Amino acid sequence: MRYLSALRGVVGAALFSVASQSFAADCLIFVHGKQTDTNTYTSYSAARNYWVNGSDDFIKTATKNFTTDYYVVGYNGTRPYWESQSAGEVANEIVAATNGTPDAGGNGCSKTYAQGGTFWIVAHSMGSTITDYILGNNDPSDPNYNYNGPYDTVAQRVSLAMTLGGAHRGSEGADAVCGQSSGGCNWFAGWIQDCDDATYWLRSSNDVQVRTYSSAPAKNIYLTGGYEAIFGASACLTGEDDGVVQYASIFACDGSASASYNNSNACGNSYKQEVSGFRNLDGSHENHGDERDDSDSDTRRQIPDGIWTCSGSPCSPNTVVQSSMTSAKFISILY
Amino acid sequence: MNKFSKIAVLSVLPFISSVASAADAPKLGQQAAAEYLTLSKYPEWTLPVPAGAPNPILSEREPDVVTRPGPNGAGPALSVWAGEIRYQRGDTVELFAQLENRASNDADILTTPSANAKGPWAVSGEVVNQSGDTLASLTFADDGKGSDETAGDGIYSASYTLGEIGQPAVGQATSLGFRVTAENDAQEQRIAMNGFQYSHPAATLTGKFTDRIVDGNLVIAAQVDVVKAGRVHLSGVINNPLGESLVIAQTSAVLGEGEQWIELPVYGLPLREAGVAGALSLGAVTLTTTHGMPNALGEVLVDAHSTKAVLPTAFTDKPFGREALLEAAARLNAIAQ
Repeated sequence: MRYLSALRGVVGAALFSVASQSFAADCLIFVHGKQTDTNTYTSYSAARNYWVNGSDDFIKTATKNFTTDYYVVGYNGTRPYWESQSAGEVANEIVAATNGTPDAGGNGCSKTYAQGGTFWIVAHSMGSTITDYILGNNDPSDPNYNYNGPYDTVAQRVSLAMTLGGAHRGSEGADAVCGQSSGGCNWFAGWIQDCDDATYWLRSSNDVQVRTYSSAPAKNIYLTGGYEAIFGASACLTGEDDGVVQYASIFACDGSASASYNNSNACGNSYKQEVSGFRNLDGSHENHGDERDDSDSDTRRQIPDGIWTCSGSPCSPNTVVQSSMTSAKFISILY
Repeated sequence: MNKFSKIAVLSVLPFISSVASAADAPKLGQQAAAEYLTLSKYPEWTLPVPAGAPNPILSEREPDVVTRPGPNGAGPALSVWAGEIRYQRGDTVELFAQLENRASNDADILTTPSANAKGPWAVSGEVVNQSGDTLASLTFADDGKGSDETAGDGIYSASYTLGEIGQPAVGQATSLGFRVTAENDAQEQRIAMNGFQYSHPAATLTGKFTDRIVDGNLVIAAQVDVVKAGRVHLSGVINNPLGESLVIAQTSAVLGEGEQWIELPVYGLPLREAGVAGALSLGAVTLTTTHGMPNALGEVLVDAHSTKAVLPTAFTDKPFGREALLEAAARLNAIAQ
């Protein structure tokens, strides 16, 4: 009986702790990547399922089994990153989330910005490009201030962003598809099947890149991405890559968008596409699909200026810091 | 323990244990908060350039090289690039192509040349708009004539003069692509695509600048010629006397037609922190027409202006106190506690 009482006490304390944590914790706002149709814009379940692969669910893991609040954004992933149905829609939905409005699935942030809430963006692939555009055009001095949405409010209310396999400097896959040179490169990845308007604006040509049309992000954007090759496709990308996006882009490097980087020499925090606001996390042995569906629990490695510490000091680049951890799980331990 | 409690504990325990085992990854919120407190010293319109980093305006304008290998990554790969990332009507666009084997520092890349991938290569191309319509056909040559600097150096060149076809309206810009095909006698083929902007700015810098110090901040005024009223974005990089980039500053304004002056305020604190005594220079400056997307990029002027000699103490020592960052840091720290 005493044992049961003690157990109840432990359980009660654990539940109280979890409840408190849930109340006080950040709200995660998920922004998906490029699409070949408008489904994620018109259908909540499509946007939600972007993060699911069978029984694997990125959002479930990243939110610690749904104990953290979350909101799922859906936008038109066939349009260029800067348009109203992409960046504009994302900005409006993020502000709605910070006001406590639930997403179409009924999930939302229980603590609004006005109530002291904090909000983290979790973006994959093209969602990262959109995040750059919004957070880099939030100030009246920026080139495209509030271009088609409340970017200033987003930047004020969001605490930080994390990007997975972000196309910050475009994608060499997009270059290949739009250049009609996909032969042998096996561009099976769903979002890159053809050179639609979104793909055209995700090429690595500087005249279409987000850095050309935005300034340094108002809040930090933390960078992680995969180095697991996709057979065929990766052979056509420079340096390490997740099968769709090359490291130079995933880690928002300055200089050439097709420079060859790996886990030992990925660009550090002082050589980014903007003078501040981009920060390295790590590299994962996941491909572009794995990054957002929690299906591949695999090795994670430190990169230059990465987040992992070994015995109190930054781990050396390329050190294996986890032997089995998905990016979703990784996010869950960062808050 | 009732069923609900058991499920709750079982679902929670793995996360409790995983948080404990994650001691090697610091909490992101705390890390961001610490950085925000430092960064809050500067306004969004004046940011320090990291020591040793390249001039951010010039770096952004560096044309990217797009490289495409053969099937399954086979060499040689075709690299294509333009001389600039933006051009205007009447400009001659210089386009380049090169076939070479890439360094074998990437395990994914098969760099072994295909047995049939030998020259000579015939290199041709086309300029296309976003819809894929061909605006011009191109013939690349490596003969040392015209836009090709050196014969036989492996760099094939072509040029194209921008005319009325495809010209955007004043204040607008459009993205043009160029697709290059290299083919040899064995029908081995390489295709790569890159692009540039066809820009039609509504306002341009005349090259006249003045400077003064106001309340501990540097203010650079730039004269501009505006042919169509609307919004513009001015950005400039301030260099020290050694030519090293110290800060990047920006401003935006709506200007009427005619000759106008626009002021670029540069917050003084990072200049004071740099400790430079002497003349500062406007290492790079550019005016962009921001009537819509894509913005019409303007020309970059390099070393456009030098200030009078100044002492660091002329600049403010007051942190700007960027409100949004201070608020974010406070909230993140509150959660951490």
